[in-house]
Amino acid sequence: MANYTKGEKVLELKNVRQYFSSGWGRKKVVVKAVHNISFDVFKGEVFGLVGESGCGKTTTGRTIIKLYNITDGDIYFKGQRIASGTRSKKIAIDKAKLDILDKKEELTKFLAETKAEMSKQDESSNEYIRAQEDMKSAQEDLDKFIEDKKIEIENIKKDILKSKKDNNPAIDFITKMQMIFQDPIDSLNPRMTVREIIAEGLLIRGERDQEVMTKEVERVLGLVGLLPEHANRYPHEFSGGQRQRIGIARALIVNPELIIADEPISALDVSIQAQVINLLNELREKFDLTILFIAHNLSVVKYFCDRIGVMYYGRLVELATTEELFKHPLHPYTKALLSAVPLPDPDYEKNRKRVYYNPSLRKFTPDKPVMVEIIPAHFVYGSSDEIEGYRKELAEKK
Amino acid sequence: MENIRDIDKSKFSLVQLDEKIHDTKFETKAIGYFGDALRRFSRNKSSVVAFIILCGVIFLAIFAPMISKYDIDEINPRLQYLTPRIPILEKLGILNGYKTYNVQTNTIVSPEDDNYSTSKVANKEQYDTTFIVKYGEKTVVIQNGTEYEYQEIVYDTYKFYAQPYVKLNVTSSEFERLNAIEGAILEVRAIKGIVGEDAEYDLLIDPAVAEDFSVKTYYVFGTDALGRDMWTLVWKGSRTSLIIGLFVAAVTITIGIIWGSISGYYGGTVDLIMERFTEVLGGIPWLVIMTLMKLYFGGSVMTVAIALVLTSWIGTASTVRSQFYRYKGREYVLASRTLGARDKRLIFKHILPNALGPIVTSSVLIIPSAIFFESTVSYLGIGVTSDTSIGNLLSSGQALVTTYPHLTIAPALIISILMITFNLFGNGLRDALNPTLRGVE
Amino acid sequence: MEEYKNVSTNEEKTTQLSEDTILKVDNLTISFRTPGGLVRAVRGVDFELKKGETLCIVGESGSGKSVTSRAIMGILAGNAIVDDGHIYYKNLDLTRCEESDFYQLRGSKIGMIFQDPLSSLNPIMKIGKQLTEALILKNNMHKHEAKKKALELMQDVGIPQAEKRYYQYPFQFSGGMRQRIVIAIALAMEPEILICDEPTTALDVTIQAQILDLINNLKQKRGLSIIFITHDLGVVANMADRIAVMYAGKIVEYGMSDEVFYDARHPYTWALLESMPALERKERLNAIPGTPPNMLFPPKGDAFAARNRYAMQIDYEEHPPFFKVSETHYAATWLLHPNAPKIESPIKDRAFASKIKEN
Repeated sequence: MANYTKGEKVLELKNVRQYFSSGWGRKKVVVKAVHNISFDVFKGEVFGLVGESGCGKTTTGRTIIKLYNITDGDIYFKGQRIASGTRSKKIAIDKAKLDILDKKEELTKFLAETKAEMSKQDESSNEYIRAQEDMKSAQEDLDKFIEDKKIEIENIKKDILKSKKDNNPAIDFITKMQMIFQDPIDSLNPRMTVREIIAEGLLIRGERDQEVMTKEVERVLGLVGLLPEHANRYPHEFSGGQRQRIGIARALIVNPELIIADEPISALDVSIQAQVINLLNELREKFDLTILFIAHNLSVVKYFCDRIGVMYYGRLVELATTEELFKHPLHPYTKALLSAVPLPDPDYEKNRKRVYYNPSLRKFTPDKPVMVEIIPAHFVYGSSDEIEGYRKELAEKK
Repeated sequence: MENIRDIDKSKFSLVQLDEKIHDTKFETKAIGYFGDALRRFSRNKSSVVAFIILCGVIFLAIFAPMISKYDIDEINPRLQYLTPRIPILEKLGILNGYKTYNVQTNTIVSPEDDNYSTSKVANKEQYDTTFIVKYGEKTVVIQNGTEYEYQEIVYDTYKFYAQPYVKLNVTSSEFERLNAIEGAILEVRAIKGIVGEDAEYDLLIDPAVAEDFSVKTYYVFGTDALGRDMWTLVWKGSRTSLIIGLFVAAVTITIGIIWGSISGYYGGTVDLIMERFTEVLGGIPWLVIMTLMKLYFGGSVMTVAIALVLTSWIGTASTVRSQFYRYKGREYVLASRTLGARDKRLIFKHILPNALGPIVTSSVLIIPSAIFFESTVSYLGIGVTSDTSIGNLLSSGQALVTTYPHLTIAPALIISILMITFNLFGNGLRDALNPTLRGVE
Repeated sequence: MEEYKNVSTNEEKTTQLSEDTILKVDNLTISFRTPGGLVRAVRGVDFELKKGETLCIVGESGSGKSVTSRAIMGILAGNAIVDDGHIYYKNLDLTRCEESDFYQLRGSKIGMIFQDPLSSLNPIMKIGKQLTEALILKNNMHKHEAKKKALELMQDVGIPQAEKRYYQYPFQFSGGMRQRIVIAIALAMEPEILICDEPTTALDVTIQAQILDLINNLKQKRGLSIIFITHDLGVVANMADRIAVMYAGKIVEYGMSDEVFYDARHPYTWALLESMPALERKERLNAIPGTPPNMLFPPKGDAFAARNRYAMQIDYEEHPPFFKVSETHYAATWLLHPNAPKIESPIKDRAFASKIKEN
């Protein structure tokens, strides 16, 4: 597994949140599917995003490719910001306005108090004059404070405008990022022939020449191991593995640079999974692709990915190179996940003990847990106590 | 199998150790969506039969009134209430044009009697014994202290019709023609105007002679109160009903798809507002709408059609909307979005073709309910009044359903056939167009 | 062994099995009538289920493994025809049994759990009721007794707060919990045989581990004999005592778990093992090219020949019989014929995890 982290960054996620809300007022329900994750994907590597159902990995993939409108955080593709959420900015504006109101109230109280004091004093006394000056300077302070806050609000509003603009990148640019979907049956339109499905990317770009399209479709079919005569068939005539290959062909025809593979093999038989994985590997080498591979099958991830991020209920709990992660898993959830993977080896299987992860056993700590880089390129999520524990563990192992 | 030890060693050579193995070609043929749908439809026997019958009905509705030899604009009171008479079945003793009456004994006369009056016989105030086929029971009724005796008789209405009758307002040219036929004119009852060019005559003629009339007239469904052929009337009525049905279906689908797709595709606030609007609109009772329209726009076919559209577009829009919700989250729609497809492409190329099944089915099923609705309102008197329709026929027949049931049976039969066949056909269509059954046998 | 009411002791239905065999399938052949023709789903399958053992049937989709298990339970689809063969359970031939006979067997003698726990449970019935349903109807148990038994079962399968959850609906449980309830229901009538048709395929890997442990524990406690159907070799390694590998409606390899994993003989088994990325290997995966054949047109000879690197001339002409590798290990491949070239198993030198871990 080569080290790609010195190369350019193809994808950057910064503090991405994706919330889904339904209902209003008291009945409002907010599902925090992705809860503040950040990671980078470098050119040419395969980055694995692993977790079980409900952890938010599919949501992350779909947010990156802009199928969902991002709630908060920023996503950069090849250095250009393509998605920016405004939730935290709106919250900041609200907070600033509240600050202004608070400060105003404070001043009013102060003025009232001072006036009450002053009325007891003599007009020419020093206290009186000082009190007057105090009042004046307090008023000035408030005015300056409001000035500053207003400038702040203006800046945030400009940010929001810029976000909104960045949220609509050019089609040509954004289609350099393509997605392969999980369900081979559902990801192909049953009413279109294979040819129409694959050529759609070209059609949307404005290609009208039938010959060019036919040629491209055949080229791409050959790349995925299908025959040209398969182009006139309908999806339901193909097996699961073949359908998935058609999906890959569809993504390839627009010459993407980044492919987000959303659990592309989970719905396939084990023997067919290998076919698709090999194909992805081949294509990656041939076209120098970068792949974000979302999966829940750790054995496939170990084989295929260079770096892995483990997700649990919307958070990244561990991020490391494949080798490092499997040699020194630190987070208890990672350990539980690893121990649960079944191996085709009866002796090993029958004798092994499983590790279970119970989140309720986590002790509550006053400081919020964060992602910490324990050793270079190995990040773990935890509170300061837990991080200490992990460091000790790592030291013991070495 | 022979002894396995004896198998030739040459058979054990490896044949494809280093070859690249490809996917094999398909052995079955490719079938498109509609080919597949057609196959599924044709396997459903009841739907196919229903479809054939339906085609027959529609064919008759279009052509029967045209080729009918009876002119329904001509009113012949003398021909009124003839019972159905069908060529072969009359030999079996049913549908032979006979009618049973229960009349006062003193109205039964024979031509030799003194009080015999041709016109009274013509008006059925008297019953000529020559036309009586069978005598039934005698009953006695006492009313206001007086005894009345009633006799049940079976009257041959067709024979009765074949007797001399009054032809009114005959033009001069027609008069000349009839005059030329030997024995045609029995009596000249009245002359209006000056004899010569533009006089009009009321004649008592012998139709058998005058019009080459044979006693073998057959009214398959009988005649109505104005002597018009029920068969022609019923098909003319079905034509009206079908036109209304098709018009309503076409307009409703169009409005429904436009409304439903906007509502379903965009969702959110747009959907919210549109939904509330349809709810309010849907709460207005159809009877109110119908009555108001009749009041302002009269009783034409168009009025009923428009009223129907107003009440049924909501259902179609709702179906379309729910179909859009079902399909807009599909992975192939998402995949298209990632390829950069715009809304228009997603709606027309991806969602609608797949969503079409239930939409088409519900549209087809609108037709019978429109027909039924039209019949209902015409029956109630607030529907089509300017033209013949099945509802009108039912309405006029309803008053006499005990004495002349044939007036109601014919339209009722036709509308039942229409409804049943349309519904069966629609059901077959729904299964045939169901995309989830694709590739699953 | 109890007597069966309403079961006719027709000569055709009865036979004798050896002492430790509880179920024997003999040359089972099943086809499906479809508008496109006759789909030959199962083409002559033989295997035995011994008492207290877990038999894993492994194969891809379309290999016929689910159809076989449904034939045992008598729940084949309407267009299925059992062309030939027998399924012997104790002294009955299940292929000759009527629906009324199956009514006695299902649940009380042979239980089955399916892949999707959500659709296996009635969404509008409380799970307590679903658990006690069979007990009350078939065993004529009193309601209170049945509830007591149900609570015991729930504890056995590891559902916490059983008392409270007894009155809850399926939607209030997670996927793993639902599968536990399904297992509890299947075991309520204390069957001898449990058929599991890919019960963990739809579950997360950590939940899968728990469910597999649960099934193994219950097997020990209750002395069950299990038929476990799956396509995941890792799960097979965990559960199986004996393995039957199926391809295109036939069994291609049959043997004890150790034999099939460490001494596989059929090219298909090699291919399956090769195509799994095990945690410790780094080489390129050798995927099986092509796709399984269309069973409307079953291929002549060995069905796997078209995708088999080691195919021989004869593989395209005659279907291989079972060759004996040991008393308990058989493989249907011409490579075991004395005249065949000696091919070494490509996974012979595979580094197995157990050996690596020792280092």
